[in-house]
Amino acid sequence: MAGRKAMEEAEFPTILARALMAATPSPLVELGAAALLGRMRADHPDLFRALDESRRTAIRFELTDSSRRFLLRFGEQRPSLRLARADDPPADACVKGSLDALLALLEGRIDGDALFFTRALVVEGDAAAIVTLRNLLDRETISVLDEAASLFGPLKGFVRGAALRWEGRAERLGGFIRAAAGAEDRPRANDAAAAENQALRAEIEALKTRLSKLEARRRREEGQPA
Amino acid sequence: MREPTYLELVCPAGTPAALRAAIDAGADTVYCGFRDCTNARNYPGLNFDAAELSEGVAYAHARGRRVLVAVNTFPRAGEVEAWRRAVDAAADRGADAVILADIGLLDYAARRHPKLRRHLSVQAAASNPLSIDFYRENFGVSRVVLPRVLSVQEVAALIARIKIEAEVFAFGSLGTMVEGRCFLSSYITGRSPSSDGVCAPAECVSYREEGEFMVSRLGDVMTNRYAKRENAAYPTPCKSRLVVRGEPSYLFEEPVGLNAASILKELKAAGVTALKIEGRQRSRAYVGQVVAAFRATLDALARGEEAPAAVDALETIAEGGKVTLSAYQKGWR
Repeated sequence: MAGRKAMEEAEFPTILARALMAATPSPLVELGAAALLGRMRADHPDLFRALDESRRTAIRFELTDSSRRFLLRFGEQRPSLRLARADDPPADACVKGSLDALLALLEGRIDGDALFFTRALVVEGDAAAIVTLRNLLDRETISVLDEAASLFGPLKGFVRGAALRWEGRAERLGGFIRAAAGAEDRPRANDAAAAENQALRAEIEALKTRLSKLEARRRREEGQPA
Repeated sequence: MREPTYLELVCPAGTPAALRAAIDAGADTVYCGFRDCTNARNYPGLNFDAAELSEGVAYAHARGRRVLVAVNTFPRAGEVEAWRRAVDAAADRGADAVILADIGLLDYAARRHPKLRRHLSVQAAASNPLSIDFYRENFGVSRVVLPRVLSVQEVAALIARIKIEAEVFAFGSLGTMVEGRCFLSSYITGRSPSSDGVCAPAECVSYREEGEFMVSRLGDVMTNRYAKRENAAYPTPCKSRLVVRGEPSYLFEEPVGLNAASILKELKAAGVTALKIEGRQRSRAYVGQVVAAFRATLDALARGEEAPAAVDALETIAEGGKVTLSAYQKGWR
Protein backbone atom coordinates (compact mmCIF):
# COMPACT_ATOMS: atom_id res chain seq x y z
CA MET A 1 0.00 0.00 0.00
CA ALA A 2 1.36 3.37 -1.04
CA GLY A 3 0.42 5.02 2.23
CA ARG A 4 2.26 2.42 4.27
CA LYS A 5 5.34 2.88 2.08
CA ALA A 6 5.27 6.61 2.75
CA MET A 7 5.06 5.94 6.47
CA GLU A 8 7.89 3.38 6.39
CA GLU A 9 10.13 5.78 4.51
CA ALA A 10 9.70 8.34 7.24
CA GLU A 11 12.81 9.41 8.99
CA PHE A 12 11.28 9.70 12.38
CA PRO A 13 11.89 7.46 15.39
CA THR A 14 8.27 6.54 16.13
CA ILE A 15 9.19 3.61 18.41
CA LEU A 16 11.36 5.93 20.48
CA ALA A 17 8.69 8.63 20.47
CA ARG A 18 6.02 6.20 21.69
CA ALA A 19 8.37 4.88 24.39
CA LEU A 20 9.23 8.40 25.53
CA MET A 21 5.60 9.46 25.61
CA ALA A 22 4.71 6.41 27.71
CA ALA A 23 7.62 6.77 30.16
CA THR A 24 7.79 10.55 30.53
CA PRO A 25 5.70 12.26 33.21
CA SER A 26 2.84 14.34 31.80
CA PRO A 27 4.28 17.75 32.76
CA LEU A 28 7.46 16.97 30.81
CA VAL A 29 5.45 15.74 27.78
CA GLU A 30 3.54 19.03 27.85
CA LEU A 31 6.78 21.01 28.09
CA GLY A 32 8.16 19.10 25.12
CA ALA A 33 4.99 19.63 23.07
CA ALA A 34 4.95 23.35 23.82
CA ALA A 35 8.64 23.69 22.96
CA LEU A 36 8.15 21.82 19.69
CA LEU A 37 5.23 24.08 18.76
CA GLY A 38 7.35 27.15 19.56
CA ARG A 39 10.16 25.84 17.38
CA MET A 40 7.73 25.24 14.51
CA ARG A 41 6.30 28.73 14.92
CA ALA A 42 9.78 30.16 14.38
CA ASP A 43 10.47 27.96 11.36
CA HIS A 44 7.07 28.24 9.65
CA PRO A 45 5.84 31.82 10.05
CA ASP A 46 3.39 31.65 7.12
CA LEU A 47 1.66 28.61 8.61
CA PHE A 48 1.29 30.21 12.02
CA ARG A 49 0.14 33.52 10.53
CA ALA A 50 -2.63 31.62 8.74
CA LEU A 51 -3.49 29.71 11.92
CA ASP A 52 -3.65 32.99 13.87
CA GLU A 53 -6.07 34.38 11.29
CA SER A 54 -8.34 31.31 11.48
CA ARG A 55 -11.43 31.24 13.66
CA ARG A 56 -11.04 30.03 17.24
CA THR A 57 -10.58 26.25 17.07
CA ALA A 58 -9.73 23.34 19.36
CA ILE A 59 -8.85 19.95 17.87
CA ARG A 60 -8.28 16.84 19.96
CA PHE A 61 -5.81 14.24 18.67
CA GLU A 62 -6.20 10.67 19.91
CA LEU A 63 -3.30 8.35 19.12
CA THR A 64 -4.56 4.83 18.50
CA ASP A 65 -1.18 3.34 19.44
CA SER A 66 -0.56 5.39 22.58
CA SER A 67 -2.61 6.36 25.59
CA ARG A 68 -1.73 10.04 25.16
CA ARG A 69 -4.36 12.52 23.95
CA PHE A 70 -3.39 16.01 22.78
CA LEU A 71 -5.31 19.24 22.40
CA LEU A 72 -4.30 21.74 19.72
CA ARG A 73 -5.81 25.22 19.91
CA PHE A 74 -5.40 28.00 17.37
CA GLY A 75 -7.26 30.96 15.87
CA GLU A 76 -7.81 34.27 17.70
CA GLN A 77 -5.30 33.03 20.27
CA ARG A 78 -1.65 31.97 20.38
CA PRO A 79 -1.58 28.35 19.18
CA SER A 80 -1.02 25.85 21.96
CA LEU A 81 -0.44 22.10 22.12
CA ARG A 82 -0.90 20.29 25.42
CA LEU A 83 -2.21 17.03 26.81
CA ALA A 84 -5.99 16.78 26.78
CA ARG A 85 -7.66 16.71 30.21
CA ALA A 86 -10.82 15.05 31.36
CA ASP A 87 -12.39 18.38 32.33
CA ASP A 88 -11.62 20.09 28.99
CA PRO A 89 -14.69 21.46 27.25
CA PRO A 90 -15.61 19.45 24.15
CA ALA A 91 -13.21 20.12 21.28
CA ASP A 92 -14.55 21.37 17.95
CA ALA A 93 -13.19 18.28 16.25
CA CYS A 94 -11.34 15.07 17.02
CA VAL A 95 -8.81 13.17 14.89
CA LYS A 96 -7.91 9.56 15.66
CA GLY A 97 -5.03 7.70 14.05
CA SER A 98 -1.66 6.07 14.64
CA LEU A 99 1.40 8.17 15.44
CA ASP A 100 2.90 7.10 12.09
CA ALA A 101 -0.19 8.27 10.20
CA LEU A 102 -0.44 11.60 12.00
CA LEU A 103 3.27 12.33 11.52
CA ALA A 104 3.03 11.41 7.82
CA LEU A 105 0.13 13.85 7.50
CA LEU A 106 2.00 16.57 9.36
CA GLU A 107 5.00 16.14 7.07
CA GLY A 108 2.88 15.95 3.88
CA ARG A 109 4.03 12.43 3.03
CA ILE A 110 0.58 10.94 2.81
CA ASP A 111 -2.85 11.94 1.56
CA GLY A 112 -5.30 12.55 4.38
CA ASP A 113 -8.34 11.81 2.24
CA ALA A 114 -6.93 8.39 1.33
CA LEU A 115 -6.41 7.63 5.04
CA PHE A 116 -9.97 8.77 5.68
CA PHE A 117 -11.41 6.62 2.88
CA THR A 118 -9.72 3.52 4.30
CA ARG A 119 -10.68 4.50 7.87
CA ALA A 120 -7.02 4.58 8.98
CA LEU A 121 -7.89 8.10 10.04
CA VAL A 122 -11.11 8.86 11.87
CA VAL A 123 -12.42 12.40 12.14
CA GLU A 124 -15.32 13.62 14.23
CA GLY A 125 -17.01 16.98 14.68
CA ASP A 126 -16.31 20.17 12.75
CA ALA A 127 -14.95 19.08 9.36
CA ALA A 128 -14.10 22.67 8.35
CA ALA A 129 -11.60 22.94 11.24
CA ILE A 130 -9.85 19.76 10.14
CA VAL A 131 -9.90 20.64 6.43
CA THR A 132 -8.45 24.08 7.19
CA LEU A 133 -5.63 22.67 9.30
CA ARG A 134 -4.90 19.91 6.78
CA ASN A 135 -4.72 22.34 3.85
CA LEU A 136 -2.56 24.85 5.73
CA LEU A 137 -0.12 22.12 6.80
CA ASP A 138 0.07 20.78 3.25
CA ARG A 139 1.57 24.07 2.11
CA GLU A 140 4.62 23.58 4.34
CA THR A 141 7.65 21.32 4.26
CA ILE A 142 7.99 20.08 7.81
CA SER A 143 10.40 17.57 9.35
CA VAL A 144 9.29 16.85 12.89
CA LEU A 145 12.58 15.14 13.71
CA ASP A 146 14.57 18.19 12.59
CA GLU A 147 12.26 20.48 14.57
CA ALA A 148 12.59 18.32 17.68
CA ALA A 149 16.37 17.96 17.35
CA SER A 150 16.68 21.75 16.93
CA LEU A 151 15.46 22.13 20.50
CA PHE A 152 18.85 20.79 21.61
CA GLY A 153 20.75 23.66 20.00
CA PRO A 154 24.35 22.77 19.18
CA LEU A 155 23.66 19.13 20.07
CA LYS A 156 21.06 18.90 17.26
CA GLY A 157 23.17 16.65 15.05
CA PHE A 158 24.16 14.34 17.88
CA VAL A 159 20.60 14.01 19.20
CA ARG A 160 19.23 13.41 15.73
CA GLY A 161 21.80 10.70 15.00
CA ALA A 162 21.39 9.05 18.40
CA ALA A 163 17.61 8.94 18.04
CA LEU A 164 17.84 7.29 14.62
CA ARG A 165 20.47 4.78 15.84
CA TRP A 166 18.25 3.87 18.79
CA GLU A 167 15.30 3.50 16.43
CA GLY A 168 17.28 1.21 14.13
CA ARG A 169 18.22 -1.07 17.05
CA ALA A 170 14.62 -1.11 18.29
CA GLU A 171 13.39 -2.07 14.82
CA ARG A 172 15.89 -4.94 14.61
CA LEU A 173 15.04 -6.11 18.11
CA GLY A 174 11.34 -5.96 17.27
CA GLY A 175 12.00 -8.03 14.16
CA PHE A 176 13.79 -10.73 16.19
CA ILE A 177 11.03 -10.75 18.82
CA ARG A 178 8.35 -11.10 16.15
CA ALA A 179 10.35 -13.87 14.49
CA ALA A 180 10.79 -15.71 17.78
CA ALA A 181 7.11 -15.38 18.62
CA GLY A 182 6.22 -16.76 15.22
CA ALA A 183 8.68 -19.65 15.61
CA GLU A 184 6.98 -20.85 18.81
CA ASP A 185 3.86 -21.68 16.84
CA ARG A 186 5.60 -23.96 14.38
CA PRO A 187 5.95 -27.75 14.71
CA ARG A 188 9.06 -28.81 16.60
CA ALA A 189 10.40 -30.92 13.68
CA ASN A 190 11.59 -27.92 11.69
CA ASP A 191 11.71 -25.41 14.52
CA ALA A 192 15.34 -24.44 14.14
CA ALA A 193 15.33 -23.95 10.38
CA ALA A 194 12.01 -22.14 10.39
CA ALA A 195 13.06 -19.84 13.22
CA GLU A 196 16.32 -19.01 11.51
CA ASN A 197 14.50 -18.43 8.24
CA GLN A 198 11.96 -16.17 9.88
CA ALA A 199 14.62 -14.32 11.87
CA LEU A 200 16.54 -13.68 8.68
CA ARG A 201 13.39 -12.49 6.92
CA ALA A 202 12.63 -10.17 9.82
CA GLU A 203 16.16 -8.83 9.73
CA ILE A 204 15.92 -8.30 5.97
CA GLU A 205 12.65 -6.44 6.46
CA ALA A 206 14.22 -4.29 9.18
CA LEU A 207 17.21 -3.59 6.94
CA LYS A 208 14.90 -2.73 4.02
CA THR A 209 13.05 -0.25 6.20
CA ARG A 210 16.34 1.21 7.38
CA LEU A 211 17.60 1.42 3.79
CA SER A 212 14.39 3.22 2.72
CA LYS A 213 14.93 5.75 5.47
CA LEU A 214 18.55 6.29 4.50
CA GLU A 215 17.50 6.69 0.85
CA ALA A 216 14.85 9.22 1.84
CA ARG A 217 17.42 11.07 3.92
CA ARG A 218 19.95 11.06 1.08
CA ARG A 219 17.36 12.38 -1.36
CA ARG A 220 16.35 15.09 1.07
CA GLU A 221 19.96 16.12 1.64
CA GLU A 222 20.52 16.22 -2.12
CA GLY A 223 17.43 18.37 -2.48
CA GLN A 224 15.46 15.75 -4.44
CA PRO A 225 11.80 15.00 -3.73
CA ALA A 226 11.53 12.23 -1.10
CA MET B 1 7.52 24.94 -23.71
CA ARG B 2 8.12 21.21 -23.47
CA GLU B 3 6.15 19.15 -25.96
CA PRO B 4 3.85 16.63 -24.24
CA THR B 5 4.67 12.96 -24.61
CA TYR B 6 1.83 10.83 -26.02
CA LEU B 7 -0.92 12.92 -24.35
CA GLU B 8 -0.68 16.20 -22.41
CA LEU B 9 -0.89 15.52 -18.69
CA VAL B 10 -2.92 18.23 -16.94
CA CYS B 11 -2.62 18.04 -13.16
CA PRO B 12 -4.31 19.68 -10.16
CA ALA B 13 -2.74 22.02 -7.61
CA GLY B 14 -4.64 23.24 -4.59
CA THR B 15 -1.54 24.82 -3.05
CA PRO B 16 1.83 26.13 -4.27
CA ALA B 17 3.41 23.01 -2.73
CA ALA B 18 1.11 20.79 -4.80
CA LEU B 19 1.99 22.77 -7.93
CA ARG B 20 5.69 22.11 -7.37
CA ALA B 21 4.96 18.45 -6.60
CA ALA B 22 3.01 18.12 -9.87
CA ILE B 23 5.76 19.73 -11.93
CA ASP B 24 8.49 17.68 -10.22
CA ALA B 25 6.51 14.47 -10.81
CA GLY B 26 6.20 15.15 -14.54
CA ALA B 27 3.05 17.18 -15.21
CA ASP B 28 3.01 18.95 -18.57
CA THR B 29 0.45 21.42 -17.32
CA VAL B 30 -0.90 22.38 -13.89
CA TYR B 31 -4.27 23.97 -13.19
CA CYS B 32 -5.15 25.95 -10.09
CA GLY B 33 -7.59 28.58 -8.84
CA PHE B 34 -7.79 31.68 -6.69
CA ARG B 35 -8.69 31.66 -3.01
CA ASP B 36 -12.33 32.68 -3.48
CA CYS B 37 -15.69 31.74 -5.02
CA THR B 38 -14.43 32.08 -8.60
CA ASN B 39 -13.34 28.46 -8.84
CA ALA B 40 -15.04 25.15 -8.16
CA ARG B 41 -12.72 24.05 -5.33
CA ASN B 42 -13.31 26.89 -2.88
CA TYR B 43 -12.36 25.05 0.33
CA PRO B 44 -10.75 26.57 3.45
CA GLY B 45 -6.96 26.79 3.43
CA LEU B 46 -6.82 25.94 -0.27
CA ASN B 47 -5.92 27.80 -3.46
CA PHE B 48 -3.67 30.66 -4.53
CA ASP B 49 -3.40 34.38 -4.12
CA ALA B 50 -2.01 36.48 -6.98
CA ALA B 51 1.56 36.46 -5.65
CA GLU B 52 1.52 32.68 -5.22
CA LEU B 53 0.24 32.33 -8.78
CA SER B 54 3.14 34.43 -10.06
CA GLU B 55 5.61 32.21 -8.20
CA GLY B 56 3.89 29.07 -9.50
CA VAL B 57 3.93 30.33 -13.09
CA ALA B 58 7.63 31.19 -12.78
CA TYR B 59 8.38 27.72 -11.36
CA ALA B 60 6.47 25.99 -14.17
CA HIS B 61 7.76 28.16 -17.03
CA ALA B 62 11.36 27.73 -15.87
CA ARG B 63 10.83 24.00 -16.46
CA GLY B 64 8.97 24.35 -19.75
CA ARG B 65 5.51 23.60 -18.31
CA ARG B 66 2.23 25.48 -18.39
CA VAL B 67 -0.17 26.83 -15.76
CA LEU B 68 -3.92 27.15 -16.31
CA VAL B 69 -6.21 29.09 -14.00
CA ALA B 70 -9.73 27.84 -13.39
CA VAL B 71 -12.27 30.65 -13.10
CA ASN B 72 -14.98 28.13 -13.65
CA THR B 73 -17.89 29.05 -11.41
CA PHE B 74 -20.82 31.19 -12.54
CA PRO B 75 -20.98 34.84 -11.44
CA ARG B 76 -23.90 35.64 -9.18
CA ALA B 77 -26.46 38.18 -10.30
CA GLY B 78 -24.99 41.67 -9.89
CA GLU B 79 -21.70 40.36 -8.48
CA VAL B 80 -19.43 39.89 -11.45
CA GLU B 81 -16.44 41.88 -10.19
CA ALA B 82 -14.68 39.01 -8.39
CA TRP B 83 -14.83 36.91 -11.56
CA ARG B 84 -13.55 39.73 -13.78
CA ARG B 85 -10.72 40.37 -11.33
CA ALA B 86 -9.79 36.69 -11.39
CA VAL B 87 -9.55 36.65 -15.20
CA ASP B 88 -7.50 39.87 -15.15
CA ALA B 89 -5.18 38.49 -12.45
CA ALA B 90 -4.63 35.25 -14.37
CA ALA B 91 -3.68 37.26 -17.46
CA ASP B 92 -1.48 39.71 -15.54
CA ARG B 93 0.35 36.95 -13.68
CA GLY B 94 1.33 35.09 -16.84
CA ALA B 95 -1.08 32.13 -16.87
CA ASP B 96 -1.06 30.17 -20.12
CA ALA B 97 -4.84 29.87 -20.27
CA VAL B 98 -8.00 30.39 -18.26
CA ILE B 99 -10.59 27.67 -17.79
CA LEU B 100 -14.04 29.28 -17.99
CA ALA B 101 -17.64 28.14 -18.02
CA ASP B 102 -19.86 31.23 -17.99
CA ILE B 103 -20.64 32.78 -21.39
CA GLY B 104 -20.48 36.32 -20.00
CA LEU B 105 -17.06 35.69 -18.55
CA LEU B 106 -15.90 33.99 -21.75
CA ASP B 107 -17.01 37.10 -23.64
CA TYR B 108 -15.19 39.36 -21.15
CA ALA B 109 -11.97 37.33 -21.41
CA ALA B 110 -12.13 37.22 -25.22
CA ARG B 111 -12.55 40.98 -25.47
CA ARG B 112 -10.24 42.05 -22.63
CA HIS B 113 -7.46 39.49 -23.04
CA PRO B 114 -7.69 38.21 -26.63
CA LYS B 115 -4.19 36.70 -26.51
CA LEU B 116 -4.93 34.61 -23.41
CA ARG B 117 -6.04 31.09 -24.35
CA ARG B 118 -9.51 30.14 -23.25
CA HIS B 119 -10.45 26.59 -22.31
CA LEU B 120 -14.07 25.60 -21.81
CA SER B 121 -14.51 24.15 -18.33
CA VAL B 122 -16.31 20.89 -17.72
CA GLN B 123 -18.70 23.08 -15.71
CA ALA B 124 -20.13 24.29 -19.04
CA ALA B 125 -21.26 20.71 -19.72
CA ALA B 126 -20.68 21.08 -23.46
CA SER B 127 -21.03 17.59 -24.89
CA ASN B 128 -22.24 18.00 -28.47
CA PRO B 129 -20.77 19.65 -31.60
CA LEU B 130 -23.41 22.40 -31.73
CA SER B 131 -22.60 23.58 -28.25
CA ILE B 132 -18.82 23.32 -28.66
CA ASP B 133 -18.92 25.12 -32.04
CA PHE B 134 -20.90 27.92 -30.39
CA TYR B 135 -18.16 28.48 -27.80
CA ARG B 136 -15.41 28.28 -30.45
CA GLU B 137 -17.09 30.64 -32.90
CA ASN B 138 -18.22 33.25 -30.39
CA PHE B 139 -15.46 33.24 -27.80
CA GLY B 140 -12.45 31.73 -29.57
CA VAL B 141 -12.26 28.78 -27.19
CA SER B 142 -9.23 26.58 -27.98
CA ARG B 143 -10.02 23.53 -25.88
CA VAL B 144 -13.07 21.85 -24.38
CA VAL B 145 -12.96 19.75 -21.22
CA LEU B 146 -15.49 17.02 -21.87
CA PRO B 147 -18.04 15.98 -19.23
CA ARG B 148 -17.54 12.65 -17.49
CA VAL B 149 -20.64 11.09 -19.03
CA LEU B 150 -19.34 9.96 -22.42
CA SER B 151 -18.18 6.53 -23.56
CA VAL B 152 -14.90 6.25 -25.49
CA GLN B 153 -16.91 5.77 -28.70
CA GLU B 154 -18.90 8.92 -27.97
CA VAL B 155 -15.69 10.84 -27.24
CA ALA B 156 -14.27 9.73 -30.60
CA ALA B 157 -17.46 10.61 -32.49
CA LEU B 158 -17.60 14.03 -30.85
CA ILE B 159 -13.94 14.91 -31.45
CA ALA B 160 -14.31 13.98 -35.12
CA ARG B 161 -16.92 16.72 -35.47
CA ILE B 162 -15.30 19.59 -33.54
CA LYS B 163 -12.45 21.87 -34.55
CA ILE B 164 -10.78 22.42 -31.16
CA GLU B 165 -8.70 20.36 -28.73
CA ALA B 166 -10.44 17.99 -26.34
CA GLU B 167 -9.37 17.27 -22.77
CA VAL B 168 -10.86 14.35 -20.84
CA PHE B 169 -10.74 13.22 -17.23
CA ALA B 170 -8.32 10.38 -16.53
CA PHE B 171 -8.28 10.06 -12.74
CA GLY B 172 -10.14 11.28 -9.67
CA SER B 173 -13.58 11.78 -8.24
CA LEU B 174 -16.62 11.43 -10.43
CA GLY B 175 -19.63 13.68 -10.86
CA THR B 176 -22.81 12.02 -11.99
CA MET B 177 -24.88 15.13 -12.48
CA VAL B 178 -24.94 17.49 -15.45
CA GLU B 179 -21.78 19.41 -14.67
CA GLY B 180 -22.32 22.98 -13.54
CA ARG B 181 -26.03 22.43 -13.09
CA CYS B 182 -26.17 20.34 -9.92
CA PHE B 183 -28.14 21.88 -7.06
CA LEU B 184 -28.33 18.91 -4.68
CA SER B 185 -25.77 20.34 -2.26
CA SER B 186 -27.36 23.82 -2.52
CA TYR B 187 -30.74 22.49 -1.41
CA ILE B 188 -29.15 21.18 1.77
CA THR B 189 -26.53 23.81 2.60
CA GLY B 190 -27.68 27.00 0.89
CA ARG B 191 -24.32 27.31 -0.84
CA SER B 192 -23.97 26.46 -4.49
CA PRO B 193 -21.21 24.41 -6.14
CA SER B 194 -21.79 26.45 -9.29
CA SER B 195 -21.55 29.96 -7.80
CA ASP B 196 -19.83 29.51 -4.43
CA GLY B 197 -17.47 26.83 -5.67
CA VAL B 198 -18.23 24.32 -2.96
CA CYS B 199 -20.09 21.05 -3.13
CA ALA B 200 -20.70 19.82 0.43
CA PRO B 201 -18.91 22.81 2.04
CA ALA B 202 -16.72 21.70 4.93
CA GLU B 203 -18.50 23.93 7.47
CA CYS B 204 -21.72 21.99 6.79
CA VAL B 205 -20.10 18.54 7.11
CA SER B 206 -19.86 16.52 10.31
CA TYR B 207 -18.81 12.99 11.19
CA ARG B 208 -19.72 11.19 14.37
CA GLU B 209 -19.16 7.70 15.68
CA GLU B 210 -22.49 6.24 16.74
CA GLY B 211 -22.02 2.82 18.28
CA GLU B 212 -20.60 0.48 15.66
CA PHE B 213 -21.12 3.00 12.88
CA MET B 214 -19.63 6.23 11.65
CA VAL B 215 -22.33 8.63 10.52
CA SER B 216 -21.72 11.49 8.08
CA ARG B 217 -24.07 14.44 7.83
CA LEU B 218 -24.38 17.38 5.47
CA GLY B 219 -26.24 20.05 7.38
CA ASP B 220 -29.01 18.16 9.14
CA VAL B 221 -29.16 15.44 6.51
CA MET B 222 -27.53 12.08 7.15
CA THR B 223 -25.60 11.21 3.99
CA ASN B 224 -24.13 7.88 5.00
CA ARG B 225 -23.61 5.36 7.75
CA TYR B 226 -20.46 3.25 7.55
CA ALA B 227 -19.89 -0.06 9.29
CA LYS B 228 -16.49 -0.76 10.87
CA ARG B 229 -13.74 -1.20 8.27
CA GLU B 230 -16.08 -0.18 5.45
CA ASN B 231 -14.40 2.30 3.11
CA ALA B 232 -15.72 5.84 3.39
CA ALA B 233 -16.49 8.49 0.74
CA TYR B 234 -16.84 12.24 0.40
CA PRO B 235 -20.07 13.46 2.02
CA THR B 236 -21.55 14.77 -1.23
CA PRO B 237 -25.28 14.22 -1.82
CA CYS B 238 -24.69 12.32 -5.07
CA LYS B 239 -22.59 9.75 -3.17
CA SER B 240 -25.13 9.41 -0.36
CA ARG B 241 -26.44 6.03 0.63
CA LEU B 242 -30.18 6.31 0.29
CA VAL B 243 -32.89 3.98 1.55
CA VAL B 244 -35.02 3.09 -1.46
CA ARG B 245 -37.90 0.66 -1.00
CA GLY B 246 -36.43 -0.33 2.34
CA GLU B 247 -32.95 -1.09 1.00
CA PRO B 248 -29.95 1.21 1.57
CA SER B 249 -28.07 1.72 -1.68
CA TYR B 250 -25.97 4.17 -3.65
CA LEU B 251 -28.76 5.36 -5.89
CA PHE B 252 -26.78 7.88 -7.95
CA GLU B 253 -23.10 6.92 -7.71
CA GLU B 254 -21.01 4.60 -5.57
CA PRO B 255 -18.03 6.01 -3.69
CA VAL B 256 -15.46 5.11 -6.32
CA GLY B 257 -12.82 7.01 -8.26
CA LEU B 258 -12.15 7.16 -12.00
CA ASN B 259 -8.96 5.59 -13.33
CA ALA B 260 -8.68 5.60 -17.13
CA ALA B 261 -5.04 4.47 -17.22
CA SER B 262 -5.98 1.19 -18.90
CA ILE B 263 -7.66 2.90 -21.89
CA LEU B 264 -5.14 5.62 -22.72
CA LYS B 265 -4.43 4.06 -26.14
CA GLU B 266 -8.13 4.18 -26.95
CA LEU B 267 -8.41 7.77 -25.76
CA LYS B 268 -5.45 8.80 -27.91
CA ALA B 269 -6.95 6.97 -30.89
CA ALA B 270 -10.20 8.85 -30.21
CA GLY B 271 -8.34 12.11 -30.83
CA VAL B 272 -7.99 13.30 -27.24
CA THR B 273 -5.32 16.00 -26.74
CA ALA B 274 -5.01 16.13 -22.97
CA LEU B 275 -5.72 14.08 -19.84
CA LYS B 276 -7.01 15.77 -16.73
CA ILE B 277 -6.25 14.53 -13.23
CA GLU B 278 -8.98 15.66 -10.80
CA GLY B 279 -8.18 16.63 -7.22
CA ARG B 280 -7.25 20.20 -6.34
CA GLN B 281 -8.77 19.49 -2.92
CA ARG B 282 -6.32 16.64 -2.36
CA SER B 283 -2.84 16.80 -0.81
CA ARG B 284 0.52 17.24 -2.50
CA ALA B 285 1.22 13.57 -1.66
CA TYR B 286 -1.79 12.55 -3.80
CA VAL B 287 -0.71 14.86 -6.60
CA GLY B 288 2.86 13.55 -6.58
CA GLN B 289 1.80 9.92 -6.58
CA VAL B 290 -0.89 10.14 -9.26
CA VAL B 291 1.14 12.36 -11.57
CA ALA B 292 4.24 10.16 -11.29
CA ALA B 293 2.19 7.04 -12.11
CA PHE B 294 0.57 8.65 -15.16
CA ARG B 295 3.90 10.16 -16.28
CA ALA B 296 5.47 6.69 -16.23
CA THR B 297 2.50 5.26 -18.09
CA LEU B 298 2.48 7.91 -20.83
CA ASP B 299 6.25 7.63 -21.30
CA ALA B 300 5.96 3.84 -21.56
CA LEU B 301 3.17 4.10 -24.14
CA ALA B 302 5.21 6.62 -26.13
CA ARG B 303 8.03 4.03 -26.27
CA GLY B 304 5.56 1.39 -27.44
CA GLU B 305 5.67 -0.45 -24.13
CA GLU B 306 2.84 -1.56 -21.88
CA ALA B 307 1.75 0.55 -18.91
CA PRO B 308 3.84 -0.06 -15.76
CA ALA B 309 2.23 -1.38 -12.59
CA ALA B 310 2.38 1.98 -10.80
CA VAL B 311 -1.10 2.93 -11.94
CA ASP B 312 -2.58 -0.17 -10.28
CA ALA B 313 -1.40 1.10 -6.88
CA LEU B 314 -3.51 4.22 -7.34
CA GLU B 315 -6.59 2.31 -6.21
CA THR B 316 -5.51 2.85 -2.61
CA ILE B 317 -5.80 6.62 -2.88
CA ALA B 318 -8.96 6.75 -5.00
CA GLU B 319 -12.23 7.83 -3.45
CA GLY B 320 -13.72 4.90 -1.59
CA GLY B 321 -10.50 2.91 -2.20
CA LYS B 322 -11.95 1.64 -5.50
CA VAL B 323 -11.56 2.62 -9.14
CA THR B 324 -13.77 2.40 -12.21
CA LEU B 325 -13.77 3.28 -15.90
CA SER B 326 -17.22 4.74 -15.30
CA ALA B 327 -18.98 6.08 -18.40
CA TYR B 328 -15.97 5.40 -20.63
CA GLN B 329 -16.81 1.74 -20.40
CA LYS B 330 -20.42 1.35 -19.46
CA GLY B 331 -21.98 4.14 -21.47
CA TRP B 332 -24.45 6.51 -19.91
CA ARG B 333 -27.71 5.18 -18.62
